[in-house]
Amino acid sequence: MTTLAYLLLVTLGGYGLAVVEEWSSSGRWRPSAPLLRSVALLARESLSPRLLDRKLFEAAPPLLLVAGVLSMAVLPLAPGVVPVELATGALWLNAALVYVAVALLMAGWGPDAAYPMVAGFRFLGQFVAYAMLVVMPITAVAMRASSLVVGDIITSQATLWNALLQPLGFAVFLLAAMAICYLPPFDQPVAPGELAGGVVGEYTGARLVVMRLARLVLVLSLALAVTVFYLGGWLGPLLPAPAWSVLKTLAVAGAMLAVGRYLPRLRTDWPLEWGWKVGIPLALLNIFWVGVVLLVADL
Amino acid sequence: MRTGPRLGRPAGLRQLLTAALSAQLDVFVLPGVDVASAAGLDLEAAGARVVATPRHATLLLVVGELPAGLREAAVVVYAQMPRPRVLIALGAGDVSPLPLPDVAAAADQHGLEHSLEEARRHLREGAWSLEAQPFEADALVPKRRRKKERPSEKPGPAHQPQHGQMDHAKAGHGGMDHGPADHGGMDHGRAADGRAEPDPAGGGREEPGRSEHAGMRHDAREHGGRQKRGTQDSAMQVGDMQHGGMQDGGMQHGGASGGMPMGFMSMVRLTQHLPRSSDGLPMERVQAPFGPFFPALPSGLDLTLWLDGDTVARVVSAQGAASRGIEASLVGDVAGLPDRLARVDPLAPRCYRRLAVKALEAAGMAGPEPAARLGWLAAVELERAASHLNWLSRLGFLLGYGWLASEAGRWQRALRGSRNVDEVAELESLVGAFLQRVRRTLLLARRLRGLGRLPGAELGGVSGPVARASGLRLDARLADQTYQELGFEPVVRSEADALARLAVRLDEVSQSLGLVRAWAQQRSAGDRQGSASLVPQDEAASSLVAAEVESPRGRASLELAVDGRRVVRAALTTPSPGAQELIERVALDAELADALVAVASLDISPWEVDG
Amino acid sequence: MIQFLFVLLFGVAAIWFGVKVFTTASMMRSALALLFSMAALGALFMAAEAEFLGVLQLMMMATEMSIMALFMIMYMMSPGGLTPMEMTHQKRFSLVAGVVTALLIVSVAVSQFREPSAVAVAPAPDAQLRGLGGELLERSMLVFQAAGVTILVAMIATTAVAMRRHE
Repeated sequence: MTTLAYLLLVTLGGYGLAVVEEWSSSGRWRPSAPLLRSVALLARESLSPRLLDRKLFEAAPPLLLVAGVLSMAVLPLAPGVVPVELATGALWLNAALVYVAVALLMAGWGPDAAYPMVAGFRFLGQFVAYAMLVVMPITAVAMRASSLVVGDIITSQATLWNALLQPLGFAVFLLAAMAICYLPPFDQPVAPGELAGGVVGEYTGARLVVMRLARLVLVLSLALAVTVFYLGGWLGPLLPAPAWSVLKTLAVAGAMLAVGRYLPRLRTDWPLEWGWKVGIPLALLNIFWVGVVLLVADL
Repeated sequence: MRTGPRLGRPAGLRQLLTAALSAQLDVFVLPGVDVASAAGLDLEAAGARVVATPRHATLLLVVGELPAGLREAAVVVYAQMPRPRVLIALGAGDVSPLPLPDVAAAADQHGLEHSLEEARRHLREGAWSLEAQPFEADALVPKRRRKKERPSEKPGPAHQPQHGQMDHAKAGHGGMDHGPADHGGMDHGRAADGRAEPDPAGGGREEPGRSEHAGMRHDAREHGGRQKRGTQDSAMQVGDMQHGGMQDGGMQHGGASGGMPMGFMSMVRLTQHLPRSSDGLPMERVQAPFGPFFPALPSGLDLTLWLDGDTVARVVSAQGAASRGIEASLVGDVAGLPDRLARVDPLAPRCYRRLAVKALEAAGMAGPEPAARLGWLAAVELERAASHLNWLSRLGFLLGYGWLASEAGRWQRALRGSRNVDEVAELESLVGAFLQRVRRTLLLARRLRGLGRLPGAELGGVSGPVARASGLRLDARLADQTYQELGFEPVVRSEADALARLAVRLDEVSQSLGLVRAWAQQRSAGDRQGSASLVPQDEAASSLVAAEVESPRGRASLELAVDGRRVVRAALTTPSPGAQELIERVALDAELADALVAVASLDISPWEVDG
Repeated sequence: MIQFLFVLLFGVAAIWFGVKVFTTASMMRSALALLFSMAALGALFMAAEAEFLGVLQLMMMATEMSIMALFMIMYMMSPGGLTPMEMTHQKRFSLVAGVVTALLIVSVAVSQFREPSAVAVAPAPDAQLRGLGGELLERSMLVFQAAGVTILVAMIATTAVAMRRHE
């Protein structure tokens, strides 16, 4: 039941997101496009650049996919519907997401070309910017639940969603989530304009399908994480628990994908500057705020 | 020779895959989307999807005639595409050394749609073929023997050609060359952030021919393929051995045979004397081509950047890559002059047509009226607005600002296709609203502010929006009586950066549409044809005349020596060569993205740079 | 039994990647091999039911090793891994040190095995977390707070020193 629910979520949700992503980059709604494009990619041959680091080049897409899938493994759709129940679930999410940076670094280095290399290292810079901003809001959320178990975090929001209680943390985490899955405007690593595709540019055929799929899984996973940590996960009045999870996740993911269309890409140093000078103080303030609230109001 | 399909037998599953392939077409446009848009092609509406790299494309769409100087780069682009691939030529004539086009049609929307249908048919029927052959061309032959690129299958006797060993380090698609091709300096060129692998003189990287080697000291990563070391490498190393104290011959610090020498080496001391770029880190130079078909820069612009990590350390921009010998071809029959001149710039043909007509009128002859219902002023101003919107769309693409790219393209097509002044009047308010929204975009101003600063005093002979954004009130329309009657006043700003140039162009779009409206009112008030009013040099029938016109990029002027009904001599000056010389000034020492944006803000049309 | 197999598997993987760090010719691969070695260790901890430790190891080591890859490439003058690089230095000394350390560790491990009853069953992950939290905030608070502040000071000082060079 669990696996089935999850697979269903991944495929349907992921497909819907792919359609939204298509709209975000081209402005047109093409419902059948993601399916056709993926199948079409399989029809194309897989080229390898000439002087590549084969192991890194080949290992990067699967690693990206694995990181995305693993990060989703601790997030529940409904009470008890979770692939792996970990006591340190909230932290596990972050641990898996770090491997996204590793995978992109490998993908950037592998093809031995200027554009992917610059793109890969820019992602590392972005990583330095968002790394703290992912963990600190999670800390605040775990404080409220007095537990790192993801299910407990959800149930602790029964009275009030974290998004309302900890708006700073919500905003910071949402932005950091967009940066992790390199969505526009954080899409330096795959910039079609500046870097002709960046790390993804040298991949063709089946490997490209894996890269694209991995990114979708990441978006889905992060949207689910935002839902679980801040929007109350499966909590909601009328519909069954999984339905709420799915709806909220898709709403968040859709929002994340849609925003990028209306903003120019951020300059490389902006995430770093804002992340460290503004983001971290805000995240710390958020922790402080949650601490005060927990002491005083016992929500 | 069939270079399009993959090698194999068309079988069941493969048919299914190619059905999907043909349903969703990914297109890479040569020479660029800007040229296609200027020709009025709407690729998305025709059902194609434009991609940023030939690696992701199934179709290669060549729009218009490819100049000889760009053919080699086009070959590299074609070779980079994974198979099955289809070559479509729209109004392109002979495209050798590219293979024969699979589909050919005229360069208009109808021709596009028809050719896409044909392409689909090609794919469905011929994506797999037992007669598939690898694509060989001279431009792809490497200067040095290198490992070949490996496709997933081996097509017959030879391997998939190596991607453009860019001897000119000119990767068709801006260095999408995997491979060292252009990475010329990919020496160990990694680290965008700091590799104290210095190359003090930018050393051996400079000769284009050796560019690949340059870095390839270690032949970048040929795991196991270390044979190439030998002489070139040691020669290279000499250059690097400069940071003090490279000790024993055995251990060359400097990269070739790595390994740390015994004893403590202070990296700081070693790298002290190396040239540092604006961010303070000494690094290896990586040579990366950004042209001529780089998706975010003007098509046909041949730009090579040496990157010092993230910063641009050196800029080389070759002029005349897109030259087609137009100036020489101007000589000839007077009646055909406007058409010949219109070929100069596919991005602004009406403007050059007007220039020719003006020159002929100055010589006392009546030139053919371009669009009788619109009148020449409306035609020129609409083209100006459309050209600026086209540029805006490309800028949006460069900046990753998807909404801008699509919306600007939409308005550009609308303006280009408008046939009478009533349509224009309708569009004026809509376009105005669009422009307002652009001006108010979050973060856009911040992104562009301060980039590519060019104070007016240093501009030399540059005209057009670049000059007007630097405070210089230069506009050829000021000398034109028709414009004066309409109360024309050029848009001038003084900040001289990319943001100012954007603002000037946005304002000029509104201004152009306003001029069209005012002119239409004036015309209907009194039934007059706008007349050319440039002061001719000489009133005699066999005369030397000159005319100038304000093209969307600046002042263009034409000098003709007319004898009877023939043009015997012609001299054309266009605004883009001057602008192209500014590239180095704006891009040097800037961070890569900033450099690209600054170059894009100059709105160069390499087509006008007729070498 | 399965657990033991997994522990063994991850242990071997960690060792194998560790060896790869020195036998590969590419700087980048070397750094990544170290990263995966650490990741294997993290997985080993998870398999050994030290959940928090495992997750932390996975998370922190990947972050740190990525940054280390950056630094390795920045400082090693031979970044690219094409020529056979001599990655080992002070061979005799390291060989001796390695053997001695290995003997030490093995003897400690073996000595513990002699008293199986002294080996407690690992507490459940929940309890581990609480225990860790309690330890951090009660008995060892001073140590960790001091360490944390020291690291912060070091970070700020490094940045300040690096920046001053610019001016």
